[in-house]
Amino acid sequence: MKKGDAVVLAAVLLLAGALWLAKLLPAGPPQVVINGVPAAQSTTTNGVAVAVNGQRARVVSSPCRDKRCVRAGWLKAPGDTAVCLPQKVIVEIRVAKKDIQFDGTAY
Amino acid sequence: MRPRKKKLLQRGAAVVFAAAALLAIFFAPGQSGGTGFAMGSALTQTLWISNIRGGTQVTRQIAAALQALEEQLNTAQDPPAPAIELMRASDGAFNPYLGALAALWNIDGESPRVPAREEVAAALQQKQHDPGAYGKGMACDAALAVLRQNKARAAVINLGGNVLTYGRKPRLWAGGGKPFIIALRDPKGNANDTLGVFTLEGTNFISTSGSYEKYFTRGGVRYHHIFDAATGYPSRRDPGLVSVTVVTRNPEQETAKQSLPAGVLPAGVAGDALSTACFVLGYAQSRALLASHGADALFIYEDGSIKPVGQAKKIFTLTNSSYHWGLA
Repeated sequence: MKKGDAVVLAAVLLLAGALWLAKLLPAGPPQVVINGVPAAQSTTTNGVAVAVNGQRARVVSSPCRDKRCVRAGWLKAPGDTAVCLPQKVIVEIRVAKKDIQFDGTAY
Repeated sequence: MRPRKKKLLQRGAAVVFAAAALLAIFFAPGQSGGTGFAMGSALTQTLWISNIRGGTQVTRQIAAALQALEEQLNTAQDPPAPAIELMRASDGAFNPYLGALAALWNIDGESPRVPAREEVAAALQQKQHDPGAYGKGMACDAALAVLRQNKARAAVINLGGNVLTYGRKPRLWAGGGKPFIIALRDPKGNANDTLGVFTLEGTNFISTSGSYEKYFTRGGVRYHHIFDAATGYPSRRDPGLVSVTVVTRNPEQETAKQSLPAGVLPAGVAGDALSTACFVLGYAQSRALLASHGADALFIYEDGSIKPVGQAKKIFTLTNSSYHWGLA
């Protein structure tokens, strides 16, 4: 292998690594999302009481039978989810994408 | 292989590679944009177009086309055929002849006032052409024609909050291959508050008519700028209605020369006029009109409820927790 080849190879690897890293980096603070809607404070949805504490949340009570959602406990890390199927409620911790890139704003 | 031949091969490969790289740069979809003013509103253009065609030239061409149209509409005695057609279809709820009435109320001017009944009647009688309620939509149709002539890959044209999307974002570019994401401003909030987002593909036009933009208050009554031609007063057929957002679309067209099927109105002029018509008519009376133009709509009310029409719920994601879906 010649010196030039090595330089090109290194450059390509570096670029690929940089792109990969850029994708991995968390783009924003984690957020509590209830049924797709960001929630900043404790709230009750379809009878399911959700306690929101900053970027953490837990289901406090639910009228459903099996209480799986309550037993999920505190949701802390992005991706953590509590689902109550009978009451149709999904609580999750999501990382907001970098200021969601809008293509435009209508008004 | 003899060394000489190998060297030739290598050189050949290098030339081919360089040529391919150059071609790629020229034909690669570049993104270009521009801002300016047209039809008395801010104009923002975002274009995805191959570099060889020159995005800057196309944005200039669009700005020029819009200027020409503005002059043409402002001096015309009568609106063009599509506007007349929409006036007929909406039973006059959309009316491009309310120029004298708007001047009388002077709602977006310095000294708005509530005129006497006789004055209102006289202004209605004048039937003065005013392109205000369809001009921006028609301008977006004109922009679309330029985009198609120049074979742009994709574009978002924003004319004072009226948004036109066109084409498909090229795959190898930022956000490539993904649908257009257009935010809808919260009609009761500030400029940065959003109500939700539209996810759209192809040629769409989003137009909003609302009572929140231009209004004045006298004796506790809010007088807004969308007039009911039946009374000459600000429309109030659907109480509590804050704004109507209409989404219209053009059918897929293969080539730039292909025209719209007979009877189909261009998405821009149709959407702009329909949003005004629907605001005047109210939810119940608008549904048939919207359906006949293949349009979707969101009717947004004072109490935070949103009534969808057509496929609106499928293309719009509500993200603002102070609003909720109403019936239907």
